[in-house]
Amino acid sequence: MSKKFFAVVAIFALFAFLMTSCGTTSTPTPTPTTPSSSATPTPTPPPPPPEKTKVAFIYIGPIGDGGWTFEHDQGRLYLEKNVTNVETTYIESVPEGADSTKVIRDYAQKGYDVIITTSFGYMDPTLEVAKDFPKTIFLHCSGYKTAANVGTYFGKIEESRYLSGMVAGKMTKTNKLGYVAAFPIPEVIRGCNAFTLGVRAVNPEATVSVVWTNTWYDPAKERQAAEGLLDTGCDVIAQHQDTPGPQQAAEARGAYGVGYDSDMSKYAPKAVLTGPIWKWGIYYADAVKRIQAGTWKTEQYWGGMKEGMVDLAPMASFVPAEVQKLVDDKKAEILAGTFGEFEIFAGPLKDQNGSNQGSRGHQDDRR
Amino acid sequence: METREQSSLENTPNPNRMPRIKLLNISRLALASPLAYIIAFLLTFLIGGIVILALTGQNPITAYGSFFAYSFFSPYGILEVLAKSTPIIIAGAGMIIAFRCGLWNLGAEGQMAIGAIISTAIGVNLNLPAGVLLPLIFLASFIGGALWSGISGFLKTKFGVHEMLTTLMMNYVALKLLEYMISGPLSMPHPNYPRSSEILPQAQLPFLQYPLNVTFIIALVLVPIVWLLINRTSLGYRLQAVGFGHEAARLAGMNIAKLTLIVMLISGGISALGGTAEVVGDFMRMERNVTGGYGFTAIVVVMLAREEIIAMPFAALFISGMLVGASSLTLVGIPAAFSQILIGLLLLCVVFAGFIERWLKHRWEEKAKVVC
Repeated sequence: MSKKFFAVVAIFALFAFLMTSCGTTSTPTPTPTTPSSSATPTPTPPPPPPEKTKVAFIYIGPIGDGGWTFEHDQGRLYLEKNVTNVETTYIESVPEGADSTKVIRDYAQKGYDVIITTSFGYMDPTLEVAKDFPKTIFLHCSGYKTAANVGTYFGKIEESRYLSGMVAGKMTKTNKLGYVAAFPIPEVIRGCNAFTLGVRAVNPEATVSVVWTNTWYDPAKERQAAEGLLDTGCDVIAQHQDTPGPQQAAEARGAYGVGYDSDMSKYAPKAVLTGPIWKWGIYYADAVKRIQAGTWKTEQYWGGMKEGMVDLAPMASFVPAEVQKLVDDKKAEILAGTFGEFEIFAGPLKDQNGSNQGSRGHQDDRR
Repeated sequence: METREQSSLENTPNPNRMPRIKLLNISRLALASPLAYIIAFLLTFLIGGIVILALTGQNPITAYGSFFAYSFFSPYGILEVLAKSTPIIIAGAGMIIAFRCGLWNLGAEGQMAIGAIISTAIGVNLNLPAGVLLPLIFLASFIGGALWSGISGFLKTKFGVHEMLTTLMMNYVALKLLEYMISGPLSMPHPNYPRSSEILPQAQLPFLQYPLNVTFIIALVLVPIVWLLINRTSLGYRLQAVGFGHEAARLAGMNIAKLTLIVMLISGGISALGGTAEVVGDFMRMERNVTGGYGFTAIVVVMLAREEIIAMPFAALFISGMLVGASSLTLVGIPAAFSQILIGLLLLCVVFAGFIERWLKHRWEEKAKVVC
């Protein structure tokens, strides 16, 4: 009994101790700011503080993931650099679902003007919070639900996916390609199909096998999925994940890889052929400028290669010149507007069971 | 052996020596435990501080300041901490029952997943009035979790397979089952993402003040119930006896196999309610991360509380404060993952504190003997 009593006392004591230690630590916190504030008066008198637009970014992974979140954070930095009167903050590794609701609500309560939620699973939480904060503007990446103060944005990554598929289709020797994909949801399936159509455009014999990881960010799982594909004889590994894990697995086996999100060649220099990449900063700067000017209205922004939202990472030196030329020519067509999503997904299309999915030529049901 | 008996005999009867020994035994030896804890905490934050300084060049005091300021001194932060501690307290309460019986039930995460699956299956499909539906959800989850961890109990009693391994492995089976459920049988009618439909409105427990849900009160009520079970029932007496010494309990005529099975059933059943709380009091549906790793976090919490049920909620609040505070770490340029490192460090240091405590007690006892 006494042992128990003391354990309780111990815990209480610890709490008291930590509370007091926090209390004392919070007092020295201002001290580091005092020297800096005493240093600031010397250069210039404080200018009249303009109303800064406060922007918060909610991330699914850590900014050091080398892929998805890294690129969003690059976009955040681009925004800070290219738009005046902007103050940004971010929070990493926020799980989708109920946890994200708490975090998004917290930032709304803190008075952020713009809250940017960068994962598909934040869609419902974003709308739920947006209901209660009509003056805050929410930008949700990759979703399909909007409200008066919630806009969505995404890019035509299928354009770059198609091009990367052409490279992969030319580089495979076994005619077996692997694709490590996160979730069987429209966004991922669309990319996967665009890649496969790109492969088939240059190599009708090739097959693309998909492994679903059911996670956006899990370096170990992404790697294992790639290894599984390599075991079945795949010699090019493409992916829709947040990290370079699958490419690293490919490099370890002497196979090729196609990155995603970011130029992943520095993580697996001997494997990465190229990869579809994101350039979020252009959109962030544009959207925040419009918000500042008061001209922003809810929208479903969907920029492509022409708008600078997506691109193809530089092709590796070991991709033969004629392949590079083929891809560059196709890229020029995309930029000229003569080859777009309607051409990528042009019928006749057959699904993996061989049944027809679209035969209306260029008039895909997208329109 | 003989000398030991002698010394214990010596210690007890002599009335002249009593006050002095008492003074030494209680006041000083009692200090050993808090002292060891304080050392453990100081060590954790010292090592953590060095890591902060070395990796980011940030002032550790500023970092810790913002870390705890948000969790424990901001109104929304406090609510978040209380909300996050809910499943941890419930899972911890279940776990402690097994731990006190000497059974390493590390399967709370999986048991929570089973609880979540059952709660969702009932909560989405059975349109009953709240007064029937909610008790049914809790009861069914309890039974489901009990049977799930009962598998480990059965393997232990029948084949002597260590429960630590089986409960741990069963976590992954349960989590895979959950993944299958949300993309298969329990997925939304028009799935665009692996998750279930929302549970019926009458199955959703209300928020006291968002994000704090009524489930927190359920968690708090569970604590004295488990305390009573352990300390005031014959089952509790027997399970503690087994926890203290297998052989002694067996010689005292206890049916250890039966007891093991019962304890595993109750333990798993209670832990599963953690998953139920997440479904009916937070997510209102089932998603991939509905269990949120709280079942694993509960292991740290139970260790931190030294398997004491009354201390456990405080440990849970502290750890959940560290988890919630992680978000404010990024504000000062430290990766959010650092709070996980800190929790891991704390666990190591608390284990280390156990050694310090024993060493201190040993030393002071020796001294006490010398003085006498």
